Amino acid sequence: MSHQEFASDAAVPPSRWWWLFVAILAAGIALTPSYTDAALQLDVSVIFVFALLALSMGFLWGYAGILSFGQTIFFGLGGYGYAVLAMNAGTTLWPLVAAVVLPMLFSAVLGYFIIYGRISDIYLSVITLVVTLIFEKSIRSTSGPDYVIGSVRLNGQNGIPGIPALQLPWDAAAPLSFDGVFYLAGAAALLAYVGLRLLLLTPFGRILVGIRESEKRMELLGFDARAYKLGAFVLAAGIAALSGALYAIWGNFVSPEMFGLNQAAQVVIWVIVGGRSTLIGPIVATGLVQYLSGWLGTVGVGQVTLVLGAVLLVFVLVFPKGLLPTLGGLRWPRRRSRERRRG
Amino acid sequence: MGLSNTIYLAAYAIALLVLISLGLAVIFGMMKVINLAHGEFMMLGAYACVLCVDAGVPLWLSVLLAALALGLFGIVVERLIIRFLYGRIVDTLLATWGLSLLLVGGVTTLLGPQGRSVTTDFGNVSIGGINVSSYNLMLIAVAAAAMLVTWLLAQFTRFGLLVRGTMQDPVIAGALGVDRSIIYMATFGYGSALAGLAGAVLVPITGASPTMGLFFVSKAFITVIVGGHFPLMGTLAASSLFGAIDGVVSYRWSSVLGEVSVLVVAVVLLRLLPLGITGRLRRGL
Amino acid sequence: MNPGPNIIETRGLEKRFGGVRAVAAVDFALAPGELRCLIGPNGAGKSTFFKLLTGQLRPTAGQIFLDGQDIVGAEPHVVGRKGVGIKNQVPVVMNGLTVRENLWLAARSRLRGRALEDAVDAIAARLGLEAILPRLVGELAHGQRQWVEIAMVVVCRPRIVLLDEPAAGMSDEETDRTAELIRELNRDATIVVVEHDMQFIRQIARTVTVFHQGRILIEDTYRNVVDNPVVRDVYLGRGVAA
Repeated sequence: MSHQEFASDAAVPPSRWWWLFVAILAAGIALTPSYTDAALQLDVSVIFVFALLALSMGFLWGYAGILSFGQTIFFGLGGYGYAVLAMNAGTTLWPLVAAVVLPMLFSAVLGYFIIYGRISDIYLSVITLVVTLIFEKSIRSTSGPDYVIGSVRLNGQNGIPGIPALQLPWDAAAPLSFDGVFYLAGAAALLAYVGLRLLLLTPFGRILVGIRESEKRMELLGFDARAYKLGAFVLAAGIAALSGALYAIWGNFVSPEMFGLNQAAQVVIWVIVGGRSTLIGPIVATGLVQYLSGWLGTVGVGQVTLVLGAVLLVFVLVFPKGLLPTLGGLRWPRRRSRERRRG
Repeated sequence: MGLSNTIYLAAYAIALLVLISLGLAVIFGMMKVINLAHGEFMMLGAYACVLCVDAGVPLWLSVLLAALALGLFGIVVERLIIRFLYGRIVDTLLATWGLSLLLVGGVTTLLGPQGRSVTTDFGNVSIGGINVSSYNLMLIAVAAAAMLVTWLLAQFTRFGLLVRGTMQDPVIAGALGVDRSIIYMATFGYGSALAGLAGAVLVPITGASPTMGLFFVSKAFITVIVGGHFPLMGTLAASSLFGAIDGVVSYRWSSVLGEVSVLVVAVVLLRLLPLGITGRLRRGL
Repeated sequence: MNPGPNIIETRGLEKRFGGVRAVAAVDFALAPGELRCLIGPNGAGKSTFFKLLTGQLRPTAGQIFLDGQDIVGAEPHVVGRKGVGIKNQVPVVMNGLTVRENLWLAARSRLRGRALEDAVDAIAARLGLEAILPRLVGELAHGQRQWVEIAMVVVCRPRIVLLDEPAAGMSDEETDRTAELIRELNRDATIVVVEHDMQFIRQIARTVTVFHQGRILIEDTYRNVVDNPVVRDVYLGRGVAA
């Protein structure tokens, strides 16, 4: 009867082992650039960026219970937002902030109509997919000199190249280096992970999980479920937008693929493989999936879509709870009973 | 724009929506499943039609063969995938999405990303003072025929009775001895056949390409959701509404803006009628 | 606006599902501090009536007054905020969370900080739930889940408590405990209880309202209702026009 795929002990403060784990990760991020080559750093940096995106989805779906196919909308808006603003303004710091805030505003409007419109869960998912398709189509069709924002051409299919690197606020002449991008992405991902984990301890987080479990009961108790869900939707959009902006900073390039179905599928796959019951699961899955797809080598776009679809199908049919929770299934009951005694 | 022209454009837009949505609506009405691979079923129907035409089969027969082929394909999909996910609506959504990607990727890999097309010798006709493509008139006729055939099958055949009964109350139907599994399989197959039909009929107009499904699928989803759980009435009602809106906006501005306006209207409508237009009706089809 | 003294009042309340009128032309009045029992055969409309009162369902016609204010169309959380608590026939609780977390969330709707934690501990002690606090609600037996829901409803001391079959599936000893709890709650709250168990009702009832086919058949004291032959016919299924 209970929802085994979600964590039931999220409201329990994390153990000291978890804090140790976080400290080790932080140390790892700080020390890695000194010991690895640029190529590996570049690969890991983008994994951090994608981990951020995966976290946004893992949070929204796993903890708020909202299945949105539209996280890539905000990912794309974050990337394009940074590109357009930074290239127009000549500076990069406030464009980075705006690239996060503006998509959040849009998500608030979109979320308001969907969530306060009391649109059912399935319809919500389908509508977010429709909005994704509309965005992808729109951006792809912006070729030609008419589609300009300020002095920046949107370029349709080709995307926007030559995006400036982030300038350090204390040394405007020095753009962020490879190492810098690595630190930034790593720090962002780690902070988001810790932040979201701790958010679940706050009343907002606990109420959100309560709504996921039984929206009706929470409403009968007097909580306006719509407000909390909208809050989660906007927060997730902000994290996705940050991921998009960091992606633009990482690659100095944005393209309509950021809005595309393949990207949307990847996000869903990261969370399905990693499992919705933890926040760390999707992060690990992101690393795994990215590593494996790098291993597959450069293949045509068609093959990528094919593999993504196959993976999705297989996982839904065979590992609906996610790969990691299924594999860790032997350990979970023991851990939970320990926490039960404590809780 | 003259009156005849407006009527023609409206009829065409509505018929197009009916054509691409009916299959999805039949499946949704029966199983409460939104088949996210619906666009790809249309795409496969289009390719099947092209392959037949290239082999020398006349167009009308190619279209029927494509529908038949997709009907069989739909049955296979239902048996291999959907059947294991009865009642798990979210998982069905994800699985059909995976299938959608698989099909797009598969066709792109096997047949290349370039589109294929067929040449037709349908000319233009003059009706009511306007010059229209006779193929477009064909399309309107096919859409109407699809609705009619579906209605006839549902109302006047024994199988249709079983389908309607299962749709209205699956538990009672099961208690009365109806094998729901067979009904679902057949319904999914029929809905897939309609999708294949739509794709095939569209080939002379849009050609066949691996990503063509994505072009139509947004509007089909919205039409079905807003239409509600009665496939025929819902599709007709929603198609009329959105056909008119999309037709006008796309004509005046752009296709993307047409989709956006359809989406906006849909969200507003769902606020007022959360179960769609036919959601509150008790009896109907 | 209803200027009367009733805490809940409905006028001409109706709810249709398709062609069925689950609740029809119900004029119901509840005075503050009352302890009312609703009885009636299955399908008489009692649970539907409750759901109308909490805003879970929207009436097809009629008005519902809470403290003199028409609440038809109000969102369920607004009605909840106004101090209406409901224990449903089938427990509506957070199955994937622990009992403690369920109680915490229920108490959080009104309380904060130390008072919140204390209220959770207090209600758990009062209703004997301490042993199951760390258990997942979804894994509990039906009876235990009912108690959890009752605890959640009661922890915040709502002004109006609606209890849909609180004694269902309970042992005699538990039934007595429930009756005592209800009498205790009645000191501070207005209570409406839907029940089938006539022994239970005898322990708590003052006024009894009898539902039949969506309408109110009779409203009278327990004794009069029980002695009424029409009521007996209704329960025994001998066709009675409502």
